[in-house]
Amino acid sequence: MKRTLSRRSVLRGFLAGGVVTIGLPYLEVFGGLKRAHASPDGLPKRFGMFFWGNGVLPDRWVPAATGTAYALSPTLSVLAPSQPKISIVTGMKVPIVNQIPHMSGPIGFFTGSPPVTGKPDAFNAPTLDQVIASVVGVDSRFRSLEAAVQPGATGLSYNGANSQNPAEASPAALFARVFGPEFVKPGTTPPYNPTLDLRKSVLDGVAEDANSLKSILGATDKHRLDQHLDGVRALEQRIQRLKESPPNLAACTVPASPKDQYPDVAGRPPMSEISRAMVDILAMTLACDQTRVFSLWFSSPVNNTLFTGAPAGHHQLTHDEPSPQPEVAKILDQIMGELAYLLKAFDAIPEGDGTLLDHCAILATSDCNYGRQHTLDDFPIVIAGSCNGALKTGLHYRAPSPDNTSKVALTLARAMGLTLDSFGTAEGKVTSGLSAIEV
Amino acid sequence: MRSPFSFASLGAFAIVTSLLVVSANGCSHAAPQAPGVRKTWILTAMGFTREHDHVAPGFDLDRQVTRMPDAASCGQLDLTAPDGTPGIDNQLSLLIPVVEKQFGNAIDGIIQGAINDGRLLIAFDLANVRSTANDRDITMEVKLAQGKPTIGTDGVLDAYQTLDMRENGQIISPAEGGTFANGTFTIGPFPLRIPIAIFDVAFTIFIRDALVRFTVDEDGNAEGILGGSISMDEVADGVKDGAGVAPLLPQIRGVGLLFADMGLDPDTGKCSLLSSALSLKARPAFLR
Amino acid sequence: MVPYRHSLRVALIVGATACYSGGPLDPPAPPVTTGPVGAAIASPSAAQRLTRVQYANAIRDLFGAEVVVPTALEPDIAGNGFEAVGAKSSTISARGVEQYETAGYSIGKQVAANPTLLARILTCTPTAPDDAACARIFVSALGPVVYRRPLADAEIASLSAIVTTAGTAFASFEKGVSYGIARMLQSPHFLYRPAAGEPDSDNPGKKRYTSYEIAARLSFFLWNSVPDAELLAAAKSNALDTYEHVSAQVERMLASPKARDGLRNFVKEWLRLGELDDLTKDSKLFTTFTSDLGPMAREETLRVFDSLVFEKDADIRDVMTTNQTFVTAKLASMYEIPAPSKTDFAPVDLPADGLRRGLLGHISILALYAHPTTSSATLRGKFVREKLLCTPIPLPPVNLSTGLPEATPDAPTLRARSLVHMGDPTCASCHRMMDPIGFGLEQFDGIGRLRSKENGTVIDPTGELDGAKFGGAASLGHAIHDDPRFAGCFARKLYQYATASEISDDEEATVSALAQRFALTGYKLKTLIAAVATSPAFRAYGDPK
Repeated sequence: MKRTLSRRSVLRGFLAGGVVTIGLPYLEVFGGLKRAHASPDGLPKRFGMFFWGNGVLPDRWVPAATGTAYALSPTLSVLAPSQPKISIVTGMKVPIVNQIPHMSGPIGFFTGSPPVTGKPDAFNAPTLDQVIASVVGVDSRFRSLEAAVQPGATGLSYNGANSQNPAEASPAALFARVFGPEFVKPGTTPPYNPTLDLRKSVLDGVAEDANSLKSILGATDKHRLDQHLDGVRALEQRIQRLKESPPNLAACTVPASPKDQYPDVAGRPPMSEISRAMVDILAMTLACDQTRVFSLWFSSPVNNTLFTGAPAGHHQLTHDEPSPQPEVAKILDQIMGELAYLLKAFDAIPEGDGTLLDHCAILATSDCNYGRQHTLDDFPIVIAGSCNGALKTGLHYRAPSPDNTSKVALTLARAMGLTLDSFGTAEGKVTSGLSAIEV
Repeated sequence: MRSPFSFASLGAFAIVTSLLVVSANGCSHAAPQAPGVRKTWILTAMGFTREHDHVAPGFDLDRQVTRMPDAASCGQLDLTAPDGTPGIDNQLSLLIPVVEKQFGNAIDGIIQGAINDGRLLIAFDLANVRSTANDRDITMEVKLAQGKPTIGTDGVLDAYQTLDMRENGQIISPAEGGTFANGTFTIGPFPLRIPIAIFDVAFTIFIRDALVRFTVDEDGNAEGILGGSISMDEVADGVKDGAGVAPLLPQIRGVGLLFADMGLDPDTGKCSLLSSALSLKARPAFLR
Repeated sequence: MVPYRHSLRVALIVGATACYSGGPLDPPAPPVTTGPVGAAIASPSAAQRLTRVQYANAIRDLFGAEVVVPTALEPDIAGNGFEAVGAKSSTISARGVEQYETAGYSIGKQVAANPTLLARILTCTPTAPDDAACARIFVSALGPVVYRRPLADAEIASLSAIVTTAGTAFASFEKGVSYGIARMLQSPHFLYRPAAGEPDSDNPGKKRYTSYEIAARLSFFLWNSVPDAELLAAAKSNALDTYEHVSAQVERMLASPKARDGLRNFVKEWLRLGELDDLTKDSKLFTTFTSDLGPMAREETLRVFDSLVFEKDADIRDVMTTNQTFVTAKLASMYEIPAPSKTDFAPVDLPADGLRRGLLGHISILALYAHPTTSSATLRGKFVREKLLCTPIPLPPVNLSTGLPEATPDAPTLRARSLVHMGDPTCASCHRMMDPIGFGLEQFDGIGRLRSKENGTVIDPTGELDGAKFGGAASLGHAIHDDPRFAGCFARKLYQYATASEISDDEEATVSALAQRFALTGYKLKTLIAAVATSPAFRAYGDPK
C-alpha cells in the first residue's frame, strides 16, 4: 500500500536518546499559531542571526554602565548609529558543560540543550532560528535562509542531530536562489508556467519513494528521510508560492546582482565585501517577504581567517597574541563594522511607520566569551530591532548574577509570536524569558 | 630653449643601458666539464646607479684613482664606492640624473617590465661551484632565456623557476677565473656582447671590459653590480636606423663625448667610452 | 514494498576464518596470506547518502563524461574524519533538496538534448510524445542502473507516467525523458544507498545484505561510484555470495581505471586534502602562494599514492620515504628543482641528499597543517599522530589560556617558544605528544618551502617520536615508515572508510587481522583494499540503529 507523505511530526522526542527534531508542519504542535507572528501593523516580523567565531575581548566588550543611558564599549562603538535600536545583554551564561572549545557555546545557546551523548561537538536539537522558522516560515517562499561570509563556512543552523541546514557561501548563488528567473515580485502576477505542476508531480513521486524507504529502513534512517521529506515539502510549498500573486510590498526591489566570485586579495578573503553583498541581498529578501528567518554566519568557530591587516589568522591570534591583544581587537572592530552595516542597511528600508529593522529581532553573538580561554560565562549578546514593539531596545542589561542564555532565546521566540512554554532541556531549560528586554 | 635631450634620446639611453634583449645572436660553446656543481641565477632586477656626493657603486675599470682632472680620463673624476673604495669609474651614474631630470625616472620601470614579461631574461650560469662562500676557478657564462617567467606576489620572478634558454642564447664565451670570497662572487673583466632590441631597433651592445660582482644571501638570492665601458658612438650607430632616431644621433654622440672617460684616443685627446655600472638582483633558477 | 523482494542468496561467511581472534600482540598462528580476513561482525548499517564526488562519478558512469554536473550540491559532512562516515548519519537539507532538483533537471536536459547520450539510454524509437510503451522500455532499462537494483512494477509505472505526462505537456518525448531522468535523480533510491537487507536463510532471525547492496558497497568503496553492468549482472545471478565470488569481482574492479578514483578519494578524505581548496596563506609573506597551489599540491600527493599502488604495487609505507614525486613547474620551483615539464605534472626524483622526502615533504601536508602566516609544529605533530599513527590526542582543555608566547631574543624560534609553552605541565601533557614531532618539519615554512633560519636563528630540526630521537624531516619519515602503528593505522583508516563506521570494540579484532594480513603480504595497499572488500565484516549486515 502506498503511504502518503506524512504531514505530521516532527517536533517531538526522537528515540529514547531524546533527539528533538523540528519539521513541517507545525500546526498541531503550536495549536494553530498560523499568522500569529504577523505584527499589529500587519507587516511580518522577521528573525535573524549574525554569528562570528572566536569570541570577544571582554574588557573591550562590556559597556561600563547599564540601563538606557550607557556608553557603548570600544568594540561596540561602531554600532553607535543604531544604539537606540539595539540592546546589549551581558552577564548571561551558556547552560551546558564547557567540553569543546568554540562548540559548547553555540550548541548550548542556540539549542538550550546538551550535545549528542558521546559527541560533545554535535548539535542534538534544533537551533533557535529553526525553532522560529518552523512556525514563522510557513507563509514565505523560503522557510529560512542561511548565508555564510567566510569562504567554505556552512554555518550552525540545525534541525536536530546530524541535520544541518548548510549556509550559502556564495552571494551569487544566494541571489540566484531568491531573485533568479523564478522570482515573483510582490504585487505582480506571474505568467503561467507549465513546469510548476510537473515539478510538483515529480516531487510527489520523490516523497513517495522516501516514504516507501521509511517503511523498510531502521529508525535513524527513518528520521533522516523525515528530514528529506521536510525539504521536499518546503520545495513544494515554494513551487506553490510561485503560482500566487503576492500582495504588493512598497519597499521591495530586486537588488543589484553580486559579483560571481570574490577571490582572495593578497591571500585574504574580502570578508567585508562578501558580507555586504550578502546583507544587501538579505535585506531585500526580507523586504520582498521571501523569507522571515535568516542567519548570516560571518565566520565559523575556530576560524583562522586572515583578516585584512592582521599578522596571523584570527584563531591563532586569539591564543598567541599577548594581552591586551590589539590585533584581535582590530579584527573584532571589523566584524562589528559589518554588523553595523547590516543594521544600517535594514534600517534604511522603510516599512509601515518604521523600518525593516523595526520589524526584526536579530541576535548577534559568538561561540564563546573570551576567545583565548573559551569561556561561556558573560556571553556576548547583541539584540537588534524591536520586533515591531515586542522588545525593548536602547539599553544595556547586565544580569546581576550569571543567568541562563536560554532566557534570551525564549524571549526572542516569543517576540516572534511563538507561544512556547519553555526553551531548552535539562540544565538549559527555562520557562520564563528575559523580562528586562521584553515589552 | 630647446632641451638638450628629447624623449627619443632617452630611449636611446635606455637601449644602451637597459639591455632589452629580444633578438638573438652569438656563438655556442659547450660548457666545460667541472667537478663542482652548476649554479644558475636569473636577473630579477637591473637598475641604474646614481651618483650622490661623489659616491656611486661601480668598478675601478681603469685601475687608476683619478682625483684631479687629467687627460687620460678626459677630465672626468673618479667616484668613491659606498664602502669607501676609491677610483670608481661610473660616468653613467652622473648622466642618469641629468636624463631623469629632463624626462622623469621611467627607465627603471621599463627595465623591470621587460624582465617580468620575459623580454629581458639574463642568466648567470656558473660551473664548477663547490662553495658559494669561498671558492675559486669558477667559470661563468651569460645566457639569455625566454618564455613567460612566474612572478611572485612581491612582483619579483619566483626563485628556482625553470626557464628555457633562447636558441643560441649563450652570449659570451665562458669567462674564467671567478672567485667567491666571503660569499661575494667576482669575475671579469671579460668582453660581453649583448644583442639587444627595443621597439624597431636591434643591435649588439659591446661591453669591452665587463665585470660582475654579487653577494649571495642565505636564501641563495644574489645582489650586486655589472660594470664596464661602452661606446656611445657604437650605440648611435646601432640605433641609427630606428624610426625617428636620426635627428637625435648628434645628441647621443654629443652626450657620449661630454661624459666619456675612457678609451682615450692619443691622437685626438678625446675619450670614446663611457664607464657604467648597473645594480642587479638575481634569484636562483634553472635553465632548460 | 516490492523493491527488495527479490530473494537473492548472499551466503555470508560468518565467523572467524583465520586465527585472528586477538590483538596484534598475540602470537599469530602460521601466517595466512589468503582467504577472508576477520569475523562477520559489522557496525550498524545505514543509508549512506552520495557524496558530491560520488554523485558526479555516478552521473559520469550513468550518462557519460560529457555531462556537466552541477557542483552546487548538499555539502559533505565529515564524521570521524571521513566524509564517507558522515554520509551515513547526515541528512539532506531543504536547500539540498532544491539543489538536487536543479541538478536533476540540468542533467536530464543535457542528456535528452544530446543524441549520442540519449541513444545510450533510449533503445526504442518513440512514435508519439506520450508513447507509453517506449517510456516503459526507457524506464525499465535506466531505472535499475540508477537505483542499482531491479525496479518494482509500480515504480516502472510511476516513472513512465512522468515521462509521458511531461512528454505530452511539451509535445516532445525527449522532454519527457529529461523529466524522467530528473525524477530518478531526485529519488532517495538514487541519492542514498539504502541498505534494507534481507532475511539470511543460513542464520535464522538475522539479516544479510542483498546481492545488489553488496554490489553497491563494493563499487562505492572501490570506485567511489555506481556498479557497472557486469557487477549488476553478478548481483542478478547471485554471484556475489561467496568469498571466492566477491574476490573475483574485487580483482576485476581493482584492475579497472576507476579503482584509481576510489583510492584517490580514500586518500583525500583520510588526509583531509579537500581542505586544500580553501587554503588561506598570507601571500605577502608567502610570495609564491596562489589560489591554485592547494589543489595542485593535492594532485601531487594523489599521484604519488596512485603511482605507488597502481604503477609499482609497492610497499605503501614507502610513501613516507620515497624521493619520487610528481610536480608541475610551479611545484618544482617551490621544491627548488628543475621543472621536468612546462605544462603538466611529470614524475621527478628529488635530490638524493635533500631534506624533502615522502609525504611529509609534500606541500599539501606542510601547507595544510600550518597557520596562514606561520608553520605549526603542533598541527603537524597532531597530523602525524592522528592520521598516520592513529594515536588520538585529547581535546585541548577549555577555560585555559593556550597561547604560545611571543618570539623573543631568548626564544626566537617556534621550537624555543613551544618549549617555554611546554614548561606549563597542563599544556605539556598533550603538546609533548605533538610538538616534538612537528619540530622535525620546522625547516619547512608555513607553505612548505625550505628555510634554514627563523628570525635569524638556525633552525634545529631534531625531534622525538615517543622517545626515539630523530635528526630531521627525512629521518622522521623513516621512523614513521618503520613504526608498526603506521601500517596498522592504514588498515584501521581503510576499514573505517570502507565500512563508514565508528569502529566498535567488536570490530577491533577484524582491524587487527587486517593489519596482520597487510604486514604479511608486504604492505601492498591493493592487497589490503581487497582484504577489506572481501572481509566478512565488510559484507556482513549490521542491524541498523
